[in-house]
Amino acid sequence: MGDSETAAGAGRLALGVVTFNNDAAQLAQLLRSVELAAREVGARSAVELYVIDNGAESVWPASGVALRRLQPVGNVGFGHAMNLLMAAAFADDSTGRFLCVNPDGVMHPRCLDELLRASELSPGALIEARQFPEEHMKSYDEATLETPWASGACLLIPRALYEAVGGFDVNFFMYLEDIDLSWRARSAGFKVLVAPGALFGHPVLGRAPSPAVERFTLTSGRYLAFKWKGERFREWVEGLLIERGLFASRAELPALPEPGAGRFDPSVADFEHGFDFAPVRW
Amino acid sequence: MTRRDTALRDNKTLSVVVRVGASAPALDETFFSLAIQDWRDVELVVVLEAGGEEFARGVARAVEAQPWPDAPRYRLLRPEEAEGGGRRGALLGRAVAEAAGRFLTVLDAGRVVVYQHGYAALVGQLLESGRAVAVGGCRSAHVRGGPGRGFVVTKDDFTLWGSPLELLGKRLAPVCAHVIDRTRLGGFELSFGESARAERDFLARLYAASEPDFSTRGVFVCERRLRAGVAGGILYAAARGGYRLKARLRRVGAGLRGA
Repeated sequence: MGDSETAAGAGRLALGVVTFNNDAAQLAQLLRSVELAAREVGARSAVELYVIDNGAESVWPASGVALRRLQPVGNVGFGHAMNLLMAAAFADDSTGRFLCVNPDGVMHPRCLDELLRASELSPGALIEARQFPEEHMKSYDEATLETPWASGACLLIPRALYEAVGGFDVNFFMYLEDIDLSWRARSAGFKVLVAPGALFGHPVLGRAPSPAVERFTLTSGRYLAFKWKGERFREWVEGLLIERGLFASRAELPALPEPGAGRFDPSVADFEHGFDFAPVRW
Repeated sequence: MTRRDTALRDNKTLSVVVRVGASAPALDETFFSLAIQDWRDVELVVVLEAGGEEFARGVARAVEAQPWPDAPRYRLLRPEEAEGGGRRGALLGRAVAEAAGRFLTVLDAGRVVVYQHGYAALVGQLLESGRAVAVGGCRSAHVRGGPGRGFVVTKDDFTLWGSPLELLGKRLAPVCAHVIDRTRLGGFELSFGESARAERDFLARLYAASEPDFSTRGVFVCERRLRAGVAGGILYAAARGGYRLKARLRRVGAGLRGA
C-alpha cells in the first residue's frame, strides 16, 4: 500500500506548530533549531513553517525559514488546529510531507535529515522522531523500526497517508489523537515507524502531570476506548474520572461523540498496557 | 569578601565542567542535552583529557553545532594547560578555578545526558533551600548500537535513601546528579584527586562538609548511558546478565501465579 510508493516527487516539507501561550524564548530556540536542521537538509527539500495560535498571539524572531501564519480560530484543541495547518500545507501541490512539531521541543541538527531519509526508504509511512533525552518506553522493532504507535510531538505525515487516512480525529481535544492516527494508519495498511537518529529534545515523562493534563488524558482515553472498542479500558478510565473527582458519577460523564467515517481495525488497538498502549522496554 | 565572591553571589550561572575523554562515544548527545536545558544560564568548561589540535577542533564543533538558546558560552581546557602534566584531577581543579558560575556540576561527555528539567530542578532547589549541595536521581540506560541512533534496551532507576549515609557500600549517586552552590561551601576545597576513586572521595568530603539537600532525590536529572562494545561494556554486560535473570524470575513467578 502506501509503502510501495516511490519517493519521487516527495517535494516540500511543511512543518506545523500549534502554539498555546508559549514564551518567546522557547519559540525562538525551536525556530533556531529548525533553521539548523533545515540547513542539514539543504537542497533536498524546501522547508517551510506553518503556525497557528490556539492562545495568545505567538512571537517569532526573524529567521531564514519561511513562516506562514494561519488565522487563529480560538482554542479548538491540538488535533483540530493541526488539521487546519495540514490542510493549508497540502493544498499546495508542492508539499510532499507534513511534520507536526510541538512548540516546547527543540530539534537536533540532524532531525529533519534523518526523518527525510527514513521517509525516502518508506515513503508512505507515518514516522516519529525519537524524543530525547527521555524517550517513550514503548517498544519498537530494532530491525524494521516498526512501532505500535507514533508520538505527535514530532511526527512526519506523508501526503499519501494524509489523503488515505486524513488528519487527526477532532473529537480528541488534546492527547492520544496521535495514537488514534497511528492505529488508523495501521488499519489502512500503512507502516508506523521510529526514526532513531532523528532526535527531538522534548520532555516526555519527567514532569508530573497537572490536573488539566490528567483530565484531558483521561477524557481522551475514554473516547479512544469507545472508538476502538476497548470496553474494559473504558470502564477503568471512567472509574478514574470519578475517583479523581472530575465527574460526580457515571451518569454525569459527557455523551461520547460518534467517531467519524474511516477504517477501524480493532485488532491493531492495544488496551492491555494501560496508557502506554504498547508493550514497554523498561 | 573578594571581588570574585561578590561576582559569584550575584550570578545565577551554572558552570558545567564537562570531561571529554579520548573515547567519548556519544559526545553529540551530551552537548545536545546541555543545549536544551530549561535552566538557560549555562556555561561550559570543557576539559579535554586528550591532546591534539584535531581533537580539540572536533569537540569545539560538537559544542557549536547544537541549537543553543543563545551563542554557546564555553571554553576548552587542554591537558597542557594544567599543572601536573594534564592529570585528570589537576585538570578538573583548573576547570573549577576557571568556572565563572555560582553553581557548579561535573559530567562525563559521551556517557551522560541530562534531562531538560534536571539542572533547573537542582538549581531551583538550592535557591529555595539555601543549602550548598542538591542531589537528584540518576538512571542508567543500556544502549545497543551506535551513538545518536542506539536502541535503549532498558533503563534502571537509582533511587537514593535521602541520607548522608548514601556513600555507604556502593550507594553512590554519580557526581553528575549533583549541583553545588559555591557561595555556600565555606572553606571546602573544590579539588579532585587522581585515584580511580577520586569521584567517590570528592563526594565523601563534600557530604561531610555540607549535608546535601535530598528533597530532589525523586527527580531524575540525568542518565548514564552504558553501551555494549565500548568502555563501560563490562558494566553493560553485567547489567544485561542481571536483566535476563530478572526477566527469567519474573516469568517463573508469573507461571507460579498462573498455576
